[in-house]
Amino acid sequence: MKALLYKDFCVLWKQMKYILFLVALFCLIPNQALNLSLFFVIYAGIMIPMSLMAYDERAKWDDFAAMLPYSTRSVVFSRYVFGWGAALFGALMNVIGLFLFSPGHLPAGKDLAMLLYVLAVILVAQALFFPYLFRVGVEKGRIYMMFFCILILILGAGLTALLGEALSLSSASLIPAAPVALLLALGLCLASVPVAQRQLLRRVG
Amino acid sequence: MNAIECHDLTKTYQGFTLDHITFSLPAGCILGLVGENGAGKSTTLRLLMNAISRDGGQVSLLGTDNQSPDFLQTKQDIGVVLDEACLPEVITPRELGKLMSLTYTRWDQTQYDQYLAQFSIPREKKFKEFSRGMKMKLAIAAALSHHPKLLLLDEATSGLDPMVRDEVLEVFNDFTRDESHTVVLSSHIVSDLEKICDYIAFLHKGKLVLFEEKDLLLEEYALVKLSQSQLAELDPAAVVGVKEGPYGAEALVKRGLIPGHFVTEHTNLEDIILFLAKDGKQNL
Repeated sequence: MKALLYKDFCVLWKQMKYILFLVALFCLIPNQALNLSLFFVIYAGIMIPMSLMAYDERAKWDDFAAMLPYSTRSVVFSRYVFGWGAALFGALMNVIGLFLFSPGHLPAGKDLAMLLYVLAVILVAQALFFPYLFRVGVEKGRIYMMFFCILILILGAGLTALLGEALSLSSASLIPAAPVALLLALGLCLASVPVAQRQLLRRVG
Repeated sequence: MNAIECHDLTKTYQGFTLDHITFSLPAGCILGLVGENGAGKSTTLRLLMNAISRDGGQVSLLGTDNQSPDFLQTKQDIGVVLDEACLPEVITPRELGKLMSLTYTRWDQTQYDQYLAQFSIPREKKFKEFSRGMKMKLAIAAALSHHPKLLLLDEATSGLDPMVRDEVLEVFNDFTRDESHTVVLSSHIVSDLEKICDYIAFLHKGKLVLFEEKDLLLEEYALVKLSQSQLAELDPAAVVGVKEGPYGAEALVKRGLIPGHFVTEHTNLEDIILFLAKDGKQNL
């Protein structure tokens, strides 16, 4: 798996270093009105591994990798690990930003809780998207993801309108629930790894 | 020991079936896998490496069933070059060396550097900036630099100019000076295979039409120019293929089955393959 992560890092650095810089910058700078920084944490955790999959697909790397001594598990798991790494990178930038720009350089509990929920969303998205991307490839999978994201946004907006204040992180119960949500999401993500393996095997025939 | 054993290997796609491929390749030999475009050469190589799953049959490489968990370890002893060197376009040869050193436990960086120097491959140039020939040479350098016992080369010389092809074929020939080293080279450039191969496997529309030692093949078959009446004299079992024209015919025959008074001409591998591929009679 080290070889695959090294390859991904080389590709990421050479193909996307400017985007990486922008992602880091936007994750760093908190924006209370639009939560753009949290949006870029999500972007880091989902779009960066997807972009790497797209580059691999374009190079037909998967055809070659299937002939090399990489297990299917390591091929799949390396994608997840890279996605987690990218998400943690965005989260780290966000935490640094919270410490730098919060009043008294101390981030509020709800800001940190929000970040944990965002990481949970990334893990759930990876659990849902990655198996499908391994099955159909990134080019076809993008369309599915777009519809799914629109659906999530509509559901989110609807829930917010219906439940209102109960969903706000001002509610005391939601802040301590954040780590639990993250752990559950991690469990779901790990459970999707063997599913993704089977989907990759189905795609390559 | 046989480097490759393949029994009734079968794979079915819509519109194409690789149909019960059976052969055994002794270690230390070079097998030329020849066939027209779409014959199933690449599919066969992918099936040998379990890169795609087979629908039937059994395959073992270097003594290991290719569907067993141990095969992952056996892949350490197998070098692969595909028809398109499928590497990330931004990777450089230096980074490829690092990647391969993390992939193969017996990676030899010194040998890799020697191949880069021999093939005049710049170390810091991105893969997408290489010509087709340079890409293939880089892929070959990487395939050879982890002390493999078996090389699988899928159209590795296609698209290369004659000088580069000759250089690359010489490298493969040198590789098999070690008797434990085996090469499978798939190509539709029959002249390349005739130069270096010990065995020839001819795939045609998914079927293995022949698997034979090259020298025996060239000894067994001959070309005969004859008239229509002379053609009728021949035992049908002796005639592999015929090209008929308005003034006579040219037939590929089995040398041992024709009467001695027929004047035979030396044939080459390309003639044999062409006659076999055309399934018998053809009008000019």
